[in-house]
Amino acid sequence: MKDLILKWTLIGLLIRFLIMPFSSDVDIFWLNYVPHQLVKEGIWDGYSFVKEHFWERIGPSRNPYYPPLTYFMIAFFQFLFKPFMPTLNNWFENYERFLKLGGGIFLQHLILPGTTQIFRNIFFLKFPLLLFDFGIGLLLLRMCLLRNEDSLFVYKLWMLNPATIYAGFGYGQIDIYPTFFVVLSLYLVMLNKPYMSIVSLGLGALTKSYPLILMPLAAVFLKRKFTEQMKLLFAGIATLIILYLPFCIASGGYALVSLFPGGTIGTGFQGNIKSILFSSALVMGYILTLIHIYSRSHDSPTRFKLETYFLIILLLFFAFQPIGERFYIWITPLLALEASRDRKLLFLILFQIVSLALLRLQSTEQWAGLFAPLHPAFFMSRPFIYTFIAPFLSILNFQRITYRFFILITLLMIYRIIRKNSKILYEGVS
Amino acid sequence: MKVSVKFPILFTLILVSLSTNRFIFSDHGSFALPDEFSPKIYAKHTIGQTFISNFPNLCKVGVFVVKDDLMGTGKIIFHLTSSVDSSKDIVRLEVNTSEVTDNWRLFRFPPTFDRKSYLYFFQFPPISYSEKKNFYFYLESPGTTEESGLRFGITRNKFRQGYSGGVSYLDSVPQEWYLLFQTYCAWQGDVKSVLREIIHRLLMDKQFITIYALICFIIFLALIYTNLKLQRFKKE
Repeated sequence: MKDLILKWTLIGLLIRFLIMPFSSDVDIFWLNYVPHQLVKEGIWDGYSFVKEHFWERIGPSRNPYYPPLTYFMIAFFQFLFKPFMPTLNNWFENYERFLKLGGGIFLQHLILPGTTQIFRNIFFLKFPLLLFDFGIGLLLLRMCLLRNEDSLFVYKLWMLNPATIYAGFGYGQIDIYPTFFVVLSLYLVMLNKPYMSIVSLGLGALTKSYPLILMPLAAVFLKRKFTEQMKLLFAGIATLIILYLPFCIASGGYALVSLFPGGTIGTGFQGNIKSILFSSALVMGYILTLIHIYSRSHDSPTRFKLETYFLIILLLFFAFQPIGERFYIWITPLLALEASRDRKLLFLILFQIVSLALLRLQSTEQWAGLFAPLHPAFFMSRPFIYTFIAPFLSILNFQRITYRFFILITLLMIYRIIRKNSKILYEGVS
Repeated sequence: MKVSVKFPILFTLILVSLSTNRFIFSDHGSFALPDEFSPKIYAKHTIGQTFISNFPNLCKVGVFVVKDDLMGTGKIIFHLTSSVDSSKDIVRLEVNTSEVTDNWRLFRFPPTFDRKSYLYFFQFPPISYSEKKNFYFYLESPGTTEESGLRFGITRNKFRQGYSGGVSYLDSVPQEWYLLFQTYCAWQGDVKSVLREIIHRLLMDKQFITIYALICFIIFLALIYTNLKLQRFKKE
């Protein structure tokens, strides 16, 4: 067994290593530039820095930066790997100059002066993601071993997880951070540590805000009495307040915009009928789930059921909110755990991934363009799926059809998960 | 039943050849929609923009044109020159306003019905020497009056345009706003030139690439060793 785990670890490591230095998205620049101010100038309040220098670019309502824990973690790793990135200062100085003049598209970032060490910079800037990614893998292994589930199957799925490989190691985005804390919170529930579990969700929300929507569920699930549920919820929120407060005071509340950035938690609301209906469906689903948890209040909480509730809510979120493709990482560990108990779910997962890819990967930058650091002009000029569809079908209609298919698949998954887990969800039998 | 391989290959080739603009990429332009529009361009008035092309084979320039202004029977003339002072056109194109529409189907973001303007691209044979060269393009609409003139998408926020190296002009006078425009270059090359460029970029940081390749090789060897060990264990 150990050798099998080692084998799949090496496979996962090799895949990630082969992609890491040679692929990137434009996000990696801003993501690392702001924490770089802490490393270089000792600027601890990134929000005030953005407000002072880039107000015209960001404005009052757009996300200045990610929540504070992301800021500190990225700065910490930049500091750690600084000796291996001697040209990083120069690279970011040129990026800052470029930004202040107006910025530009992804391709122009890649031809900025200071790109002689672009591959090593991208590699080390992404390195922290490896730690969290393998951390999730180990947690999943441990969770399955404790419950006598097929741990190797789950681990294999995680090592080959296309969402992590694409969005984490291809793009360079940090969705793996909050995902790690959500998985950790489920693991801590297994160890019967409810307060640490909710604090873990709080820490996850301090990297990217989506775990916030799971906190009320966890609080209601883990404790039976209302006062204890409130204490638990308060523990989670206090985690947020402790770290956010200094930034809110320093930046005049501006830091709070990072909690509700566009396109992450329900901010895709457009005020039309469809948006109202979808948001209502999401809220109704959430309320029904909470009611269900209350109605089963005599059950003992196990990791197993909480994970199912998390999965259902996040799938509803994906169905009814305009979620970007890279956020798919959030549900993949939960899907891997569920698929180990229901192998046929893998087919639905595959359809879901394909429809999400067709729906959201709307430009070359998101396909071959990820490898533009290797050869900007060549990779940015590669055709993508819409190039071949556009002569025959309006892209808008194609996206409408694909989105309906995606919603259908997601709702089918929810139905299947509830049906498969009905004994546990309704009768408390595990 | 035997199925010939020729048909899928032929089908793929037809499919590929049907699509246009396959091997081009965006050089300038942020794909942001205009938040303002220029004064009307009519008769001898012109609106223009200078820029430096980052890549060779410049082949398309796009601007936003207000839909409502395209109802008339005028035309738009596109001029591409090497500078504001130059009178010699590198490219000159004419299009009737009735023909102006979104002619680039693959938007960065899907088009919306309530959009006030079309994104229209002027396309021309790739200019092979365009890399790092200065250009100036300007538009005019002769034969129109102030009532039937055309407005083009602009912004006063430099981050919306996303290009810092040029100046927008109205009747050859520099302006403080920015004309929203996009440029595309074509990629023309072969496999050898691509590989040569990739290797050149990799070797810019020999130290890292050497250590990185060594680590990947070690991981690969470890994987083979583990696999062999597992196979031996299975046999036993």
